[in-house]
Amino acid sequence: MIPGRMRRVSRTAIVVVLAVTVGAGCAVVRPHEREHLSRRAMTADQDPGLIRFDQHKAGAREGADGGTGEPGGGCGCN
Amino acid sequence: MRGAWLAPAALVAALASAPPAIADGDLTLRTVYYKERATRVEQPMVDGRFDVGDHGSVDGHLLVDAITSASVAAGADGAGFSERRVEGGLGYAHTFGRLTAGITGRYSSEPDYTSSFVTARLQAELAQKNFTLAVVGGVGTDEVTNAGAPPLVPRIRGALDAYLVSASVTQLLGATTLASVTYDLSYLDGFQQNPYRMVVAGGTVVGERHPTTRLRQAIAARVRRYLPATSTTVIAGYRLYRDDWGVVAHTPELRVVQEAGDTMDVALGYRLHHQRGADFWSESYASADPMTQPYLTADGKLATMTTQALAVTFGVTGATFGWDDRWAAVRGELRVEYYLQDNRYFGNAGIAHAALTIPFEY
Repeated sequence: MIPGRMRRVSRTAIVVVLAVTVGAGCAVVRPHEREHLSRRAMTADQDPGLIRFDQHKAGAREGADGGTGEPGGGCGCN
Repeated sequence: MRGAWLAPAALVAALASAPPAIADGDLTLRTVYYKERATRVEQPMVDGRFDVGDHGSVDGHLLVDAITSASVAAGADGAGFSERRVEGGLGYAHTFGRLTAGITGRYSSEPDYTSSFVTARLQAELAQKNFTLAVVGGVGTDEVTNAGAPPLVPRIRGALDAYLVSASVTQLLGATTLASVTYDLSYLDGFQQNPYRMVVAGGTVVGERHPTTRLRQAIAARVRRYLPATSTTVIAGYRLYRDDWGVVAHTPELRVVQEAGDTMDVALGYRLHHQRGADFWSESYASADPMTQPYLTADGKLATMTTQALAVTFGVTGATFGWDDRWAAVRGELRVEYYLQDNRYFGNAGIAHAALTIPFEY
């Protein structure tokens, strides 16, 4: 059932995730340097309810879903 | 709908008079109004999160979806209808040093559709918290009927199983920049057509026929960068999606959050979505014979399309008004969004949000 292009995307995804994983630790930011990283816009500029609604809206109007680590669907409008 | 606010309001009042703190949490009340050509949705919701002990946290949400529609694309049988969907979710996460393990359940119910999903998440903070790795696994099951169809229409009942595997990594790239990549793989097995929607094929009108399995993949990357000189945060994202129905989608997104002092911010967001339609999607079908045309659909979501969304968000905290103590961190938010879609199925949409987030200690 899985066509060749699906396999290619899977391989690409694995390569990207591995590349980022291997690259981990290249930049070391110490705790006292993280003032800016703790700002709201850098951590979560959108709250869970907004993210959930946006995902629901896109799922009801578009054929693509995912990329959030959360399950989509869950309603008849999908 | 007003009744839905009574319980959260009572909870807010209770939190306001809470005794001295030993842990904390936050509660967000949000209501959304969504309007497109033939469909209107009102969705009040409440999200909560609070600490449990030294290493645990609980989060949950409850929402009501009140939909009024005359659109068959929204699930109706061609006539106007009003429907309510209720969804609740509850999760618990526990931290073991660098590891955080969590489990979340979600249940949604409407007259012709129920859905439940359970996910487990494991997250590790590595390299002095410069690098975070998370994996998620989930399983769900949906049940669908055409309970809203006229009495003489034959009853349809279907079940859909869903599985999700996800991996994400987040890497600090400097004191003002971080990047993340998420890969989702999901598999659907079961009834995936709309039980109301009909297709004109070969001169006859028949129900939709979709494949019973669907393998979906999405990879999304996001970079956040804070510009100290102007107190601006730039968030750029891109998602590539493919599935074995032939849908391929590219979704870039850009948000700019501008702080105005320490207590206010304005965000401007733009999202572009372009997708190639499913292999079996067509404006018309020459035959309804399953031997020559195994799949039939009238689902506008499976068509080739381009959508654009533009959103403006204004946030303000209680400190702006001179409130102190726990009320200084209360955050109010207004968001207005306009959503443009270039196909004939849904039309453009306007969306308005109002939200209030109340941190609390107990």
